[in-house]
Amino acid sequence: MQKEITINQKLYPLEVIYSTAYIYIDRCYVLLEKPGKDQVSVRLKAKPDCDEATFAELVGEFENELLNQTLRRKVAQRTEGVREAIVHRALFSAMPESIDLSLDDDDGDYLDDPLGIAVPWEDKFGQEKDE
Amino acid sequence: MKTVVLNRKLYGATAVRSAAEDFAELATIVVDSSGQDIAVTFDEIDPDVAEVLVDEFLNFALAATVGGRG
Repeated sequence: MQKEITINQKLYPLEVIYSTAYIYIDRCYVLLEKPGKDQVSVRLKAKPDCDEATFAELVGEFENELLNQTLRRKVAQRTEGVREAIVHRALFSAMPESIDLSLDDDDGDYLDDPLGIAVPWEDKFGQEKDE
Repeated sequence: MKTVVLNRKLYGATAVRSAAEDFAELATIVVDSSGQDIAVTFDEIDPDVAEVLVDEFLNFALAATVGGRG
């Protein structure tokens, strides 16, 4: 069992045909051919375990999926700017404002130790224990 | 021996070669992309998979093309 569908590339761009074919390669055998300019022929062939009714259904679904993928592509193109703006905004919001990486305002001395972390343990607690 | 001709505008030569490598254990597959189209010749096909090998190969080549291996 096999069915050949000729698709006009002006209506369904190659990208749409690819994404539709990719969805179906686990359910049937797909071969693409180019019978003429702006035309792509898709040959769908049933896998050995596929019956006639299932295959007929699959062919119909394939044609519907072409429309579905075309719509997805159009929506993706239309909303590309909005999606990019959302991602930019999200990344910008995630940047910590409190961290200033510039060294211009840093007037601290490297020898300053306000928390006392540079004091050795023995100096802090050692003498008390010995006594 | 069987030869399939694939349109270069639809199938990537690298993708087809990649599929040929994947199927190397099941048949002797020669990919000739020197011409206008890509000619794939199948020979010494494993009898256990002979019925489906070419079709499965074409699916692999298409998947590799769509997946960007072409």
